[in-house]
Amino acid sequence: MKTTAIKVILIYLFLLILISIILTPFLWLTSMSFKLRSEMFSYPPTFIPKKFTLLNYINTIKDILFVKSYRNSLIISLSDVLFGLIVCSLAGFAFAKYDFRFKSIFFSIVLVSMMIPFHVVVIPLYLEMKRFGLIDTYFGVIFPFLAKAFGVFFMRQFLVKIPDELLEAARIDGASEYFIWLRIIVPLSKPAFGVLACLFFVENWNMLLWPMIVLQSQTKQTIQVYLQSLIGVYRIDYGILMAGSCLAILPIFVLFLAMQKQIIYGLTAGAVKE
Amino acid sequence: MRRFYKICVSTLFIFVLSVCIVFAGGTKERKVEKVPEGPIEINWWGFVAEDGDVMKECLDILKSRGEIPENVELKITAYGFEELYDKILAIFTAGGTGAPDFVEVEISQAGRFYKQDPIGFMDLTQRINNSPYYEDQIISRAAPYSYKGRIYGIDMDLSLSMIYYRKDIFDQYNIKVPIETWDDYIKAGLELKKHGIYMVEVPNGANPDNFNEDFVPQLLIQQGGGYFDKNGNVIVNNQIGVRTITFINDMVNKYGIALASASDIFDPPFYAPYNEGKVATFIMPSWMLEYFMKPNMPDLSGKWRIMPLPAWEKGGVRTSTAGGTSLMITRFTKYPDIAWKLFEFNRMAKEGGLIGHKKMGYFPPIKSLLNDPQIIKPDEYIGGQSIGEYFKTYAPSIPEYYLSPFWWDGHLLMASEVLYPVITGKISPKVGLDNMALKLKQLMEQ
Amino acid sequence: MTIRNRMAPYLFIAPFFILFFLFWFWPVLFSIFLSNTDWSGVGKPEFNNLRNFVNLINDSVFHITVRNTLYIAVASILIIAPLALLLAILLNNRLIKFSDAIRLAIFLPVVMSLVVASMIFLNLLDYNAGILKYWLGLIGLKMPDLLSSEKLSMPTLIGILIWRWTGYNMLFFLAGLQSIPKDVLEAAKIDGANNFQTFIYVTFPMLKPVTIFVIVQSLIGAFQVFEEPLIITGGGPAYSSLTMALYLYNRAFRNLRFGYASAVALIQFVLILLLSIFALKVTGAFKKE
Repeated sequence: MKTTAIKVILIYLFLLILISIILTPFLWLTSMSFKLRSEMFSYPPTFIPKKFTLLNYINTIKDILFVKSYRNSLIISLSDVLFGLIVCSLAGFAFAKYDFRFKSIFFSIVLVSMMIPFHVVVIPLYLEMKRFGLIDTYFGVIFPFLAKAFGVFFMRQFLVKIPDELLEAARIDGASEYFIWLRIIVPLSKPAFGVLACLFFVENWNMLLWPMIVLQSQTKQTIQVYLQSLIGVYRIDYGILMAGSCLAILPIFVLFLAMQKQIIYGLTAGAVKE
Repeated sequence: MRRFYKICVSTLFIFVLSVCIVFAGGTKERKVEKVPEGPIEINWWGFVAEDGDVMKECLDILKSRGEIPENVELKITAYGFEELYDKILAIFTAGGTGAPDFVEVEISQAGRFYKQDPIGFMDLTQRINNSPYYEDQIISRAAPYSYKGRIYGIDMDLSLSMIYYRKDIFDQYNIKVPIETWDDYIKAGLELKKHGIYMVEVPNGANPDNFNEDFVPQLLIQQGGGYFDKNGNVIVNNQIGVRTITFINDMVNKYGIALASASDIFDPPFYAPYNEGKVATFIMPSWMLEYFMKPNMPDLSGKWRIMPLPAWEKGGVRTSTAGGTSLMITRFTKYPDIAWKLFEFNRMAKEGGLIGHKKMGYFPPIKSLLNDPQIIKPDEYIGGQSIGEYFKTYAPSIPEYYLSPFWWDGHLLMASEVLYPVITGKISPKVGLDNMALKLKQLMEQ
Repeated sequence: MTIRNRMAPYLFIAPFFILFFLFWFWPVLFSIFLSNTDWSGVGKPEFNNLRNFVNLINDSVFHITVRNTLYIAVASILIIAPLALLLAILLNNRLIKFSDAIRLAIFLPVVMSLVVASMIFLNLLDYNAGILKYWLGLIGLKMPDLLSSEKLSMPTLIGILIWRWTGYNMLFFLAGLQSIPKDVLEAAKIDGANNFQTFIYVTFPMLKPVTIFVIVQSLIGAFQVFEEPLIITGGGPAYSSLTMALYLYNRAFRNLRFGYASAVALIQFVLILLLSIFALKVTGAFKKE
């Protein structure tokens, strides 16, 4: 029994040190956001600001571009999640519950598509967007990333577990395939949707390069582009940068805090198998 | 039947949502043709919004004189530095849709656009040469913004290099000014070293993306060298280059009078040694004062003075240049004549230059301004000296230098092939420079 | 099944595949085309008949980037994955209270945008004024020049990647662990296996699918590392932290040599493909099907 106690203490110690290291950047960011510019780069560095100030946050919220960017990011990310879930659940369903010609070839394409680095396609993609007239539109930002291979893959693993009898029964009752998807599969997919929604949202929220290239009007910028734009040449507004970054992390933080259990549940129910 | 309705409603909902999203931000704000009677919008993109405000003032003055129609409006958009040029590049690549009329082009970025053929900016050579203000220009400040004989912009600032020194430290340890040659500079450094003070902070080239890239070129240019010559040939590994890199390396390693650091002048940590009184001078152009020294070292006001660069040989050139920002007009502008009028006034006319100086503190390359009392006013940060006065003496000898589409590669290579390996003692200056020249030539030939 | 029902699967996968072909497949083809040309973004691309690839073979900087990127890939597989697994095991244990909160904390780095994280690290690791220097000073150690040293820049970068991705991979391992039926573990215990033996002979084999997934994902991710070297080290000093993705970006957007950049991208893609297949074969993924 004693050895278990020692083991547990050691593990706690290890975890404590680990957590401290992991959280340091966040704590530092938060600490910076409450500091005045003059104290931000002083040495020795202080975690607790000598002069605590809310000025940075006030300035950030007063900046109308910040608010607009925030709103834009919310719109884009939520749309990405919504449409992404639809695309992935449809395709995942097909791969999970149907047999059709070339199915394995199609599925292999899905897997391979995960391996295409974004930088390979960014320039041709941009030219295409121009051809389609999607430059400076939200759709232009969202569309290329809706083909979420991981999502398809994940939905497939999850949906494979649904008993075929359920679907057969519905078919016997005269339901169309689409109906089955909408009224049976979708409601059952909630745990998987929970996981994917979180992952899709984070990935989209943090995107920088593509929105920066595609969106041109300042009023359409996303929050990440806005933060990047604060890194000007002569005057980096560190105050807004820090406070704005904290505020930018907030929705995801809250999202994951709230959805913690669902995510694990969803991942477990999905039981990632290859 | 109920289910059917539910399906319809949900599909409709998704449809409506999509439509809302499309109209929330999806429609392009592009009209096909602007009717001349309606408001004409000129778009100015830059990375310092206040420079756009200067343009606005110029616009107002020209409007009040009737030289520009009343219905012309200026829309200023300031982007982040990286973002601005990535965007412009993307726009030029995609054929110019959405291009602004004016772009503030910083000197380090200008070369990037020379690769494209045709260049996305308007060729202003004829207009500049024929302008009534032409004679008044210190035209060497257009050289970096010209390519293959065509001029695309004029710098807003003279950007003359000088030495900023701590008068109190020099007085304390009996360093005599002015320092005439670089050898004298080294002697002064050795004296300060005895008291634990460095003469200058130099870049160590560790981060090729983020280092004080103007430092080396200004020394090269002072001696008539540079990365490239007028015709775009690589000359960086000539005698001048070797002498310069050897000098920098000696300052760090042989004499120990220079602090090699990884910070760039934009990073606050760069100024920490200065604020602590551990470094005594800057070797930088004139814009260092207003944009970098004052904001980052406010407590040291009044302790600095300026003096010309030491010469490499007795009687040699005492000044150089580095850095700068110009204005360029895109060739996609719908209103080339209006844009030109604004450009001419803002860049070439004495009045436009004065507005810029008053608002932003830079010194326009306009001859008639050099004697203007508004320019030659004392600055208390440098103890009552005047940068304007300094220009009067040294501006005429400002060297020309030419950019190339490979200018940025030059910087990257200088950091990675020369500065870092040489300062860390891995290779000699000559070898480093030869490597750099070789790689540059390879890049140019590919 | 009715005709419509037989069409159903094709219709269901249609949205994905239409999007894929439009926005990934076609651009990849165009990219392959570009990799044989010289193009600065305007005007017509000029064919140069594999000269890009010849130049790549002679490009010593490119070789360094391949080495660096492989270095990251190996580190991801040999450090991040095992660490993630270890943490998953530790936190799966009911003896540890607050495991929920701890898990969230470990996962949190994924949430911070790459740009902000990079800036913060730049600050924390600063040689003269960073907090790491301060802490090391407190325990009497000298601050190593992490960002200005050829030898240390890559380990530092990898350290940052470990910070970011361990939690993400831990999540998958956790899921894998929790999906192992309890009775199997009970059976092992009854048979007299201790914890360690249970792990080696029961748990780990059952984790194979997750492990394979994590390994392949890490591989793919390693090749796309871009923002961190861009902001923190600029690829330096002396190319020691230059990744393939950053090199590609420089060639494309700084140099305006989209043809050459596309050639690099193509090689990147091929390498990912080959390494993934290799990894899958080695871990016996293909046996299952």
